[in-house]
Amino acid sequence: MHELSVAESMLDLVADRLGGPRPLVAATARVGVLSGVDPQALEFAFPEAAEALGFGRPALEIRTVPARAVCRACAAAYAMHDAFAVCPQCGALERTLEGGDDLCLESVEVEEIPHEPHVP
Amino acid sequence: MSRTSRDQVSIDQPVLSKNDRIAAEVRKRLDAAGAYAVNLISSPGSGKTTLLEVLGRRLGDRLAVVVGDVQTRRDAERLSEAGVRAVQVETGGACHLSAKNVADVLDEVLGDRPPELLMIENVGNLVCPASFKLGAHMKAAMLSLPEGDDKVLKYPSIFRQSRVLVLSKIDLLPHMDFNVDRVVRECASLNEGCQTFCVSARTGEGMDALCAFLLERCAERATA
Repeated sequence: MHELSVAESMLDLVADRLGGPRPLVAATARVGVLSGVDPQALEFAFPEAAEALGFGRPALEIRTVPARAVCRACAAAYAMHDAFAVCPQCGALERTLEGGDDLCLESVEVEEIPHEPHVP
Repeated sequence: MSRTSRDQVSIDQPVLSKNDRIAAEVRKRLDAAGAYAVNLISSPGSGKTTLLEVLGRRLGDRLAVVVGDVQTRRDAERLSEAGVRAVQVETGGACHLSAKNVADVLDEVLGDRPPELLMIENVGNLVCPASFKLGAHMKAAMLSLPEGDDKVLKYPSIFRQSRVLVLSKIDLLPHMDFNVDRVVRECASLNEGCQTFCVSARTGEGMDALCAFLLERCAERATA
């Protein structure tokens, strides 16, 4: 369960960008099918880590990224969404892979509380 | 009444970029010392420490080891008893080594006369260590026969990234329904270049080939 330390690394990047912890509403990330990170576990860990580090309880929205596969039997190209997938054309497992190892924090939504004139 | 508005801020950075930067520093220090490093990853109980004891008996002071564990110094003690220069890293609960763990002990393990080969025994775990670069020149995945021949596609990340697949406890093959071809084939479906070594630390089977392969990589690096 290294998703907690992955979430902490994400929040570390956010703190660098924002100059410290600020309440977040949401965050988006890209997670590749070969990144070794479980999207569900990361979605669970992110608000927990955020709250502990002073970022509120933002939801993390994850876009999963497949690997690009080329079948070594029939040369068909396909998107590999999990490692058990076989070639949709010929059923072969043999393939050459590219990508799918993304683990990237894309953006965050920061809660802004505008200063309003104090009305007694 | 105060109203909440939202401000979208783009980050667009690899999540582990800080770890990656430390890993790059570790690599520079390894190269300066002339040491070739292997990040050894496998489940608990697959035989990492035993394999390293056997390698240590063959390679003597050409080998040094960084050994990661959640807790206890037992593995380093075992390796020291086998005559291997070993430095223990206790991760204090973390299920993987990070580049900083290695950076922190690198001077100690390289010493005045750096080894040709530095084996980094990661925390026993087939999932988490795969995500964290350590600065090593290659990753080696190890799978022991009792774990079963269906593990490669269940844990694709580590087998995707490894230059070498070590099948350990191969002396148990006659007693098990373990299909070596299946493992090799599934590993190739993730990683065409991965080279398989079937070894037994107990009988010594396959150890010559693995040892020779590792020393070739050291020599290659030295002339690069």
